[in-house]
Amino acid sequence: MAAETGTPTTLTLKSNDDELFSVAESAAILSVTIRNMVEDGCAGGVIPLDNVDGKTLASVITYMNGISAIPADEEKKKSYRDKFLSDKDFETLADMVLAANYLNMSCLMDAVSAKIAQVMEKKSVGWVRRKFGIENDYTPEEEAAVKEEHKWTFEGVETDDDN
Amino acid sequence: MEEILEEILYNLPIKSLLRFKCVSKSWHSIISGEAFIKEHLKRSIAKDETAGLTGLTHHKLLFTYRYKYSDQTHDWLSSCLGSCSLNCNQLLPAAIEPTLYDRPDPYVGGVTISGSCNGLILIRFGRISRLILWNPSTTKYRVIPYPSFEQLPLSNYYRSSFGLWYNDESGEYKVVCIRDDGWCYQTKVYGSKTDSWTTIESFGRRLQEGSYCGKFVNGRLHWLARLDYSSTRRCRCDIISLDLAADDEKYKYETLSTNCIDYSRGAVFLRDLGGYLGLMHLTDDADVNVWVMKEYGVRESWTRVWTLSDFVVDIVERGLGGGTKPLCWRKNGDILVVFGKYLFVCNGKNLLRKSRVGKLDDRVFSIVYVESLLSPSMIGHQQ
Repeated sequence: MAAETGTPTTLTLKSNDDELFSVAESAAILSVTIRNMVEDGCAGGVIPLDNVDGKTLASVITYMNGISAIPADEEKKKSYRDKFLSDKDFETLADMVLAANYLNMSCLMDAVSAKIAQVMEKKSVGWVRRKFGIENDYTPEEEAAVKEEHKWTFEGVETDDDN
Repeated sequence: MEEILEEILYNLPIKSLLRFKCVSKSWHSIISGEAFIKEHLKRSIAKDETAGLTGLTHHKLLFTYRYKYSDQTHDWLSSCLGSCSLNCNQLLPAAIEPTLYDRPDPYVGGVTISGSCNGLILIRFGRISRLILWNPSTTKYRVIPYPSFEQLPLSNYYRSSFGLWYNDESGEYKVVCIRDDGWCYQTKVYGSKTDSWTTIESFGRRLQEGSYCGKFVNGRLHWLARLDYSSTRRCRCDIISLDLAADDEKYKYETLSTNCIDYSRGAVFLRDLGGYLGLMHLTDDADVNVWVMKEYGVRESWTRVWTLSDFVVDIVERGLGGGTKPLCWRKNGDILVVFGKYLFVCNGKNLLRKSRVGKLDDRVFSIVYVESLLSPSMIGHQQ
């Protein structure tokens, strides 16, 4: 942990597309990855985050600042997380889950995973393949057999609007 | 990457997961994997544990209800199965979902829920002596061979009690059947590994009425057993527990005292209250008291957590006290109770939530189960 000083320490984070961000150390160390760097004394200059782009990092920093401003009240933190994620589209959420994983931020990871699941819940198999970039490796016969086995789970699926 | 995907998939309900087996072969293998299935179950239980009983999203209600049907000559009354969400809109009657046996066949007869654990349900069809291990969430089921017992002389009437037991570590399931011929007891255990029944030592005491389905709590099966041979329902009882973990079939019975109950004042029933042992005391003045063993095995921890007469509302709707059944309890004091045609979530004297389930009535047998991916057909086999 940082030594007790009068002014809060600020860290500079660099995204993989070379954008620089200033963030209070107290908020940034929500990321275990960043905290480890700080503790190892590597935080003197600029902290490079090679797996996060600027757009996603900006969003993560907004979250870091927002959630660390809330005192220890799990209810309030939860409602902040819900609100923070409510207007994010699938692509943004997907970038964010990768960033949360890389930055080792379990609270964000859990919240984004749950949000992605909520978006996926009633989607079609085709939608999931497109959004996750997955190639269908079943033969038509194999796919038909798997589908037949779980036919009832295809009821009530939303029509694809790719949103 | 696969870890991140699994983190997302743990949050999905069973129906979506089964559909997404179609996405690709690798998704199919993740979702079918034993480790994934166990972790998904663990997280579903944990999420509903923290949510309290007003926000259950991974648990559902399963119940048997009476079903009347006619042929040319007779009206028949039978029982079948219904299921519904515990998180439905309070203003509308809960939608009853079609399930395994929702239209009884005169040949098959009625259905009994004979055991439940980890989202798997043991179902018994009395008339044709058939046992089925069924996962209502995946709709998969497996027929379990019915136990055969020595036919005793002078025995023309017997009662059977079943129970379903699960070993978290090995994934093995066992089914217990206790047969009471009135003067002699026989007990058999079926193991999913061996796919056969073996005879074990009997406990040798009569089970209290209404205790024909063993309750799986804390890794053991429980029944309410009478302390003497008195024929009334008022005789004092103990809870007997059976641990089936031993591999050498030297299973041990233990007794748990229920000294908290005044048996002279009415009938007592054993309940599984979502991981806690509970006793429902139906008193002579038609009141219902619910007791919970807050700490498993600790006699002093029996606590009275709910009393029907604290609630005067809907007294007409609830009918007799027999229509009141506690289903689930949580450490925060929430309790889920079937109350006539209603499901109530109460805390102390407060009613927190109320929803109507059309087919419930005072003859229902109902349980709360967790939705899981566990397969009834491949349990306990090393993969």
